[in-house]
Amino acid sequence: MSIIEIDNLVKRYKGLTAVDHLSLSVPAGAIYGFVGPNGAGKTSTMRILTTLMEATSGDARIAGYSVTKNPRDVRRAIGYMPDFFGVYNDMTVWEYLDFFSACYDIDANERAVINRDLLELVDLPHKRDAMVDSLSRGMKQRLALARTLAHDPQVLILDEPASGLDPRARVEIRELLVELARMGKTIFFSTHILADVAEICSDIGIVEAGKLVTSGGVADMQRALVPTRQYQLRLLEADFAAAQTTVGQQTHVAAVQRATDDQGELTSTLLIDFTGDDAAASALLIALVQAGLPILEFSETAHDMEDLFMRATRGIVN
Amino acid sequence: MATRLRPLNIVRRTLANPIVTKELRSRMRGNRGVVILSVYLTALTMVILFLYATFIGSGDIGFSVADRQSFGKAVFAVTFGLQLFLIAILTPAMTAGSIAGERERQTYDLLRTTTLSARSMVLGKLGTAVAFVGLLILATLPLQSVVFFIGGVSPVELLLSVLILLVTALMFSAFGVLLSCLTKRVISATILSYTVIMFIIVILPIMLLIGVASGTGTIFSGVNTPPDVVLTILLFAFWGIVATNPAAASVASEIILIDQQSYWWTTLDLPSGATIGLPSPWLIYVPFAILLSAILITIATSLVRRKER
Repeated sequence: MSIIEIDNLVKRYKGLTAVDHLSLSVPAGAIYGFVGPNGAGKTSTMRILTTLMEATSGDARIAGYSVTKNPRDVRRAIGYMPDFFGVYNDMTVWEYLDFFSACYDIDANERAVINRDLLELVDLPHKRDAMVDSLSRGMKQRLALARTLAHDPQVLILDEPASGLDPRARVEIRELLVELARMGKTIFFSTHILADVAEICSDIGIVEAGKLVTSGGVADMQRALVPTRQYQLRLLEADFAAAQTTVGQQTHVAAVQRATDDQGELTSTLLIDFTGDDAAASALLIALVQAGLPILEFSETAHDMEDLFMRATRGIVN
Repeated sequence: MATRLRPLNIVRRTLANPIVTKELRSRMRGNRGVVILSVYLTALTMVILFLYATFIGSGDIGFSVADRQSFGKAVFAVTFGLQLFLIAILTPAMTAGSIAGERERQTYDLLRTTTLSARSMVLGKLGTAVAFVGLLILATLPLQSVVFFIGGVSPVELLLSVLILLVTALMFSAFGVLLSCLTKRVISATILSYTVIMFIIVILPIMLLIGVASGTGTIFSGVNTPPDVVLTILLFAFWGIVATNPAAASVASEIILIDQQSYWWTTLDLPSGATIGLPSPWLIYVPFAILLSAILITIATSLVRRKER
């Protein structure tokens, strides 16, 4: 079931189309990476989803509520973290959380319990009485995440949650997002850090020049964008030319080539572009063993996100 | 529905407004609030003592009732003028940052994606600014009450002056909040607020008075006295100007009180011998300020509610 549905969304500024007939859906419980280069329309889409911005045309529904017709219900269903941290210099961590919880009309007694739990979740109970301004960037980001959770929303909309963080803080945020998904939250986040997507996303949408290039499960997308799977076959010293011919004669093998190392030297590994499924891959291995090839290793090479991204986008940005 | 309008509920709802809690907390954090209050009261005390010393020194104050009354009136008038000046200085400083400040701190979007209503946001900002100015005004009441020992000022007069000050604080704060909605930066909102308030309390009355005076001069320059209808219209126009300006309305109301011993009405004789009655300006000014504030707040609320285009 889709919890976010974007339907033919258009956002035009003076002479510029930031979002161009964008449609996508996000399944409930997904960690959805909204990926695209700067200026691709990610932030505009998110601002429309969070009811901050009016769309030129089209609509989006979150948890069944239209962002144009039921903005208040949408706000109740979402927690939003923009790509900047809004600071009140003269507030303690506790006051900050309490203030935003109160903005969701949560009763004072309930707030005390919720805020304590949230601080524990983001590992900040020891900073309860510290001034918000004194926190490190990573801590502020965790506090901001806690803030988005105060009213127990179904969907978290996070704009570049890991940008500007040091590697450790980035890992911590990533772990938190996974934890939140485990708790049943749907997470829709924009990023241009592909490692984040590869590590934690179940689904991905690639957007470029305001248009959705592709959207779906990460595994499905890999299959769609890279129609062949690549296997690497490492052999003990052998006649590589003969081995290459043998492999090339097998079914589902689209191409075979000898791998090279960083210096461009040939290695003892053959790279096989394979069009079959898992059963066919297993049959291929049996056939190769039976053909007498001295196999040391047979494994599938995962296409990395950069590769996927480069294949999906054409490098055109508004 | 009836229970929702009970005063206790209104107080509870106001205190439940998170903006009110946050603003009051930050306004009174540390000893900033106490310092402002202490400095203000000390300054006012010094002014009253200075007035007293001046009266004593000039030999104008004796034991007669009239002397004491004139001293009482002077103290009352000076403190009122200072308070009005204070409101004109403080309200833009306190309200110009209300919405523009949230934009500068990048907290505006955070607030707008919560379920907090635009009205609660605007009323919370406005209410806390008025509450602080109200606190300053009420804190001067014991000082002003000194005039009761001297004479010349009635308790009703004092209460009316407080009412005028409070609605003025409300009106100026409403201007500040609205201008804060219209600008991106606090500094622009502050400058605009001071300009508007200066325009209202100084420039507008001067311009209108000049206009009315020259108009009257033209009319009266003829050999014949203009008809009563023209005079009445002119008089009402003049009265309208007086009654919509806090300083002019207060002074005129006080003059009517002294001359005609009335809080409510005055009568004026036209050259034809006809008499027309006019309400004391404060009677127009108070509802006018409240109504204008309501209009400004409504516009501010709709601006906050409006989505980015």
